Amino acid sequence: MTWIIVGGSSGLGRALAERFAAAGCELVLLSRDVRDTTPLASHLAIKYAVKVSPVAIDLNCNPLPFAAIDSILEGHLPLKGLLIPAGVNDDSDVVGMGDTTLEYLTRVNYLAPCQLLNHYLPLLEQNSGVIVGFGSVATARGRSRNAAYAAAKSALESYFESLAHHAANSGISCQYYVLGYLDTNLAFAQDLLFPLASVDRIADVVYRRRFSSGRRFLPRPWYILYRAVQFLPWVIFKRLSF
Amino acid sequence: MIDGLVRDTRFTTFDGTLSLATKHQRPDRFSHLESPDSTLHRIPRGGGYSYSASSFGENSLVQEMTCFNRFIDFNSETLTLKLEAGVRLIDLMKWALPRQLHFPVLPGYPLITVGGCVAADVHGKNPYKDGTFSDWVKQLTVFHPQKGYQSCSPEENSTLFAMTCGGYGLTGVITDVTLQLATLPTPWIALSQHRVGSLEEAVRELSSCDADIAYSWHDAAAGSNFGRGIVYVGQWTKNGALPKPMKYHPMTANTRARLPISAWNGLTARVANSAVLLQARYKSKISVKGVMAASFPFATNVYFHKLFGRPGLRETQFLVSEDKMGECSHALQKLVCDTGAPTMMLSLKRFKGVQKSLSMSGTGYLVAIDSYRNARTDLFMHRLDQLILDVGGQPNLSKDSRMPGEVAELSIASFAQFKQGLFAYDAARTMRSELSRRIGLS
Ligand SMILES: Cc1cc2nc3c(=O)[nH]c(=O)nc-3n(C[C@H](O)[C@H](O)[C@H](O)COP(=O)(O)OP(=O)(O)OC[C@H]3O[C@@H](n4cnc5c(N)ncnc54)[C@H](O)[C@@H]3O)c2cc1C
Ligand SMILES: NC(=O)c1ccc[n+]([C@@H]2O[C@H](COP(=O)([O-])OP(=O)(O)OC[C@H]3O[C@@H](n4cnc5c(N)ncnc54)[C@H](OP(=O)(O)O)[C@@H]3O)[C@@H](O)[C@H]2O)c1
Repeated sequence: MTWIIVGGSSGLGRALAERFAAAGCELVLLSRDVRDTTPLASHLAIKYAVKVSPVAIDLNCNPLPFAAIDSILEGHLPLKGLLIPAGVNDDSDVVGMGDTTLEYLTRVNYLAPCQLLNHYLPLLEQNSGVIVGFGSVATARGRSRNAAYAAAKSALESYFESLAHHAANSGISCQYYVLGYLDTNLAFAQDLLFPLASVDRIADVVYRRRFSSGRRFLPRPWYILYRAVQFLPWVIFKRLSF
Repeated sequence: MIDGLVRDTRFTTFDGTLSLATKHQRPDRFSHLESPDSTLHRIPRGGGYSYSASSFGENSLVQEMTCFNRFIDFNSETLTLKLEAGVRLIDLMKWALPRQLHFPVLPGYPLITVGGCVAADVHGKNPYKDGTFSDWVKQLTVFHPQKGYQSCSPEENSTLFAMTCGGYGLTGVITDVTLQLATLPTPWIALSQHRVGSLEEAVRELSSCDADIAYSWHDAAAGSNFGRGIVYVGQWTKNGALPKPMKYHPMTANTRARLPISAWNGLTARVANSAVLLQARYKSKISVKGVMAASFPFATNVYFHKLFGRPGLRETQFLVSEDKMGECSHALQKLVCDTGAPTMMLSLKRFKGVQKSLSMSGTGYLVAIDSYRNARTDLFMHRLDQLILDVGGQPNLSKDSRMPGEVAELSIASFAQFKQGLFAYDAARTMRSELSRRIGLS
């Protein structure tokens, strides 16, 4: 059984690759640079004796090069799951940003994940497959920073809700994780108030819950914080800079 | 540079004596490694277990390589393993042991990286038998921001290879390393201990034994007990079941220094050393240990380092030729006892090899001395530098955070050649650390 990991080169995607490979799953890893995923594929093959194929794909392009992925997938079928941890943020992501940044953040965080999901849905439906999306606590409430990122992730979350509704009777499992701060390069240079979670732990939870459905916060205590931010009175919220 | 990948971090040497804040990047993709402006000064970093400031420096971007930790290729016929430089020794061994494989040159802490081992050309538990780390390196890839990726080996691009092994990151960032592995005779080691009354006696024991592990530990506190110690000799042994996985709490330069004051002083050093010697008298002469526990003794035994607390410790290691060892032992005992030096313990290992680059390698005996810090420490270190020069000793730059550049230059035989080669290779001296500044290589 094969799993596609979109954004499998680093951070959570790489941890998911390690966890799923350790359990004997075949993998197809998508990211921009095969110089990162080729050694990762060798690493997983050496450690766990599983077949892993890297594919170079830039999510910031339209149309997505499905033919390239599909030809690799032919050597891997049947497809069991699609994990979409890919995501990107940007320092210039503030209200008033240029069109290029806006488009880039929307495409990588929202449009491309949805296009991939739509493309592989029929195949996954045939195999009682699994689709897993990843969002962010940044969606709790729009702020001046991370404006497009949070909007795109909110849209993704909504799309996954629709997917869950669509999938309710189709036999596929669909999960959406709302993530707090992770110990990856995405958060490395940021001054953050709360501790960073280990991606290995998150990947382990995702693996163990791979056949369940629904939305979940990881690490779990972020739910309380998420809610607290949502209910914060506007007079206070507008003064916060984070 | 890609936005958002660099932060300010305060780095501290493992001995706790030097600390400074500088820019810090932890690349996890090739594009990140390549992203800083190619003229920006930088220095690679592994696990950060060097006692000297060799992996950070003022106005130098630290590129921490711990995310480059993938296994790339294994050839089961030649037993060569290609891996990325950020692989930690514990992960290498965890992979190797179940496959009946072993890597013989292991420094004492499991979270040290392969890149750090190449760059400091480290030694293991028996450098007389196994040589130093670089003796087991078949090939390297070195990334230099202005030269790109360069493959090198003893045969191809051999000057770069020689300068990189024991070159303390000054030739560029090692991205991958091909290591020669060995077959594992058994996962158990029988470690025997013999009490000795002096350094000379230990030297005699070490020179006459043909063991897989061989080193000695000595009381180095000033006084009549100076030099009393234990010689440890280990041999592979059969012991049925597999060893249990080693459990330990990671220790870093910061967690080592949590205690606000040092618990070690003249009195506690003497008491602790006597306790070790007393225990050796009553404990069984032979203990059987798993290969991980025997290779990484400091993983589970963290108190020695932690009790130096925030003030930290001073360690000096140097290699003395066999014919100078007697003279060195006498001079050392005289220096410690006459000056009431703040020394705590001393250790010896026998070496065989050829001196190269900045690495401590060659034939003779390694002398390692740990001291707690007080008002006399700096004067003692200064006199020890003179002793090293007098006996033609060769220092270990990764273990000494303060040795003056002139002493390093005079005592390391290939220093001038290394310096000339380095400036010819990269006149702008792009790779810089606090160590390179101190010894005049920036
Ligand atoms: C408890 C303890 C026990 C030890 N025991 C021993 C021992 O038995 N024998 C011994 O020889 N040493 C020993 N050491 C010292 C240690 O092995 C060396 O200092 C080693 O270099 C540390 O490697 P690191 O991965 O922590 O690298 P760092 O300390 O981060 O860096 C060390 C040097 O390597 C360079 N470097 C790191 N990664 C790269 C890379 N990818 N490319 C190029 N350069 C790089 C850095 O620039 C720096 O110059 C011990 C240290 C400790 C703390
Ligand atoms: N880190 C946090 O604190 C945090 C907090 C909340 C939510 N999240 C979410 O958690 C998920 C995982 O984040 P992470 O921290 O693991 O991030 P990461 O380490 O930066 O990894 C992101 C992954 O996405 C891929 N990617 C980015 N842009 C791409 C593009 N244009 N085309 C193809 N692939 C692209 C990257 O691959 P290449 O760069 O190699 O192409 C990489 O594999 C993301 O969805 C993120 O939004 C993270």
